[in-house]
Amino acid sequence: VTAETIHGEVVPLVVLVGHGLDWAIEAQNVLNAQSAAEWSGSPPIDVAALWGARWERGSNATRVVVVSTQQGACAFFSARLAFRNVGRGEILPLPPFVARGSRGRLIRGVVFDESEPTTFVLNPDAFMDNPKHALSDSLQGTIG
Amino acid sequence: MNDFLRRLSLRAKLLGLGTLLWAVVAAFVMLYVPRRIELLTRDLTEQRLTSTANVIAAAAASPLEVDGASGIEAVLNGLTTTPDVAFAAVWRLDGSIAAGYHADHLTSTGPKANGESSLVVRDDHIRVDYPIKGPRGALGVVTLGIGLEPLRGQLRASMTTLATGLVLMLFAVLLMTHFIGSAFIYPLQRMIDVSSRVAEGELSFANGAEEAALVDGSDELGRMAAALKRMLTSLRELSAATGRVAQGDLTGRLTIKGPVADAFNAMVEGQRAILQQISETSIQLAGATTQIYSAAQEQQATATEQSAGVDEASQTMQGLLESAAHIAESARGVLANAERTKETTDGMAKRFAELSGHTNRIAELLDVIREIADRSDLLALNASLEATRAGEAGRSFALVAGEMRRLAERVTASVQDVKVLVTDVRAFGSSTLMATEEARRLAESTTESARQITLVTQQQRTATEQVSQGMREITAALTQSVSAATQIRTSTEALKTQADRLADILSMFRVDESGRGRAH
Repeated sequence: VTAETIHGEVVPLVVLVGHGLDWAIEAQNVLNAQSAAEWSGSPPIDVAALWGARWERGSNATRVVVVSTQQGACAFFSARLAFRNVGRGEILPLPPFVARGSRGRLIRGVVFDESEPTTFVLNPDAFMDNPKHALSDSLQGTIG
Repeated sequence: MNDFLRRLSLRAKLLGLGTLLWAVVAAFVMLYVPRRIELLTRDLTEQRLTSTANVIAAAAASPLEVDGASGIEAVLNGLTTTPDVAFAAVWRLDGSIAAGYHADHLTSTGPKANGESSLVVRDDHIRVDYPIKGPRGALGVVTLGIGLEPLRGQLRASMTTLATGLVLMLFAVLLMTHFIGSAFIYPLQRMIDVSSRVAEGELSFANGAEEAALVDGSDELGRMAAALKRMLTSLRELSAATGRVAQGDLTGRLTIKGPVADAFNAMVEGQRAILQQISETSIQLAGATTQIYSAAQEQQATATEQSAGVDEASQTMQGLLESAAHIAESARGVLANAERTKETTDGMAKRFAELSGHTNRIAELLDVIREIADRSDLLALNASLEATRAGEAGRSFALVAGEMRRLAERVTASVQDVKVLVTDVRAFGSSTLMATEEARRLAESTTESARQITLVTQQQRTATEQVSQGMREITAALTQSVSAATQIRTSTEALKTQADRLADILSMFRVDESGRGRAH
């Protein structure tokens, strides 16, 4: 019996490491990662600012993660990136009353692990549904 | 001559005086009297001769007027009764002799009838030519001569008589001198004997015979003897009083009168007053000597303490001097060290400036490394994404990419740490540079302070040397003072001994009648 047997297929996640709270995007949807300093496209989405959280202190090399959605590519800002493999079953859906909220729709699921911070798996398509909202507070978060 | 006269006895002097008086009288008589007699005799002879010639001229005038020589012869014959007439002649105006008496003795021609008489003295006679005058004028000249031999015979007889008288007078003078001398010299000899014994200090005689012998008559010698006796009495009283004074008894007074007694009484009074004053002075002197002795002891002790204190202060000053020398030496060392510190801090500042340049270079290199690591991380990240998208085939590649990412992250983290360290080094370098600047300023200040300390120490050393010299002079003065105090104390001890001896001496004197008036 493997973890895959218990939790389903392995889903690699690109984790946007925050301060006590992580956000993650499925690695299949990530096109590439670029240096934020060299980023010249539309302003990336700052999810930490969106949720009133702070980024984990890392190196000065902030990143911009380019993600493919059904409406096109979108970019997310992150102070530090990490890779994490979880089982599909470990991505737990949000409660319905939360998932129906404007910000709840941006979350596909949540991963709880005793050895890792709580990780919210983002739904990039939802960001693209409301790009104005998604981009309104972009890059306003602070790096902790 | 005077010594010779003083050695002669009084009798010899009297004899000499009498003889001398006799010689003077004899010389006067023998030299003056014969000449005077001769002159008187000659004057009388001349007067007699002139008056006789006048008489003859008056008597011969008439015969000459009538030219009768016989009358004139008669006049001249009358001269035979005068034996001392040697010759006589009556001359006419023509120079012929009218009449003569022993005219053969005339050796010259007749005198001139000029109306004036003339007198000629020869060795053996005296001749006078006297004019004969008549009513009608000159009639002739009378020449009359007297021989001098009879006169000289009388003079020799007179001289013989005078010489005999003088010889007799000499004997009389010698006899008178002998008797008079004996009458004077005997009592004088007795007084001389008594005076000699008195002069030899003998004032008391065995039976008073000598004193009795002194009282002899009321003449000058008797009065002299009485005065000598009174003098003996006074001398005895004076001797007794002097003996009492010699025994220290100053209470007596001389009862005799006179300046000597007054002087003696005044002397005793003066001595009594002086002894009183000496007594009082000796008491004061003893007290003052005691005080001086105490003061001298205190002064000596004080001077000794001062000397010890000054010695200690001098040693302290010497210590200060040595300390000043030490401080000066240390200050020179501090100055040298401060100058070396300044040079070192200058070198350190330079090194820190170089270090700052190196850290800047390191920071640049770190940026490059960080950028490389960032790019490596980014490459590894995208490689991982590609491997993920490759599925199972890219799993091992994903592991390698993940390992590369971890390495890149470690490099980035290390670079970050190194940057922190470099920042710390920069900050440390800045603070060290500031500290070095501060140290440099401090070194400069220390150098200046060391110079000031050296200067002040030199001044202090000079001043300390002057003070030390002054202390040495004070020490010398105090040493002299101690010596002087010792001498004063020694002298005061001697003075006190003398004062005690003076008091002992004064206790031997008696200055009042009660006997209580011992002078001390």
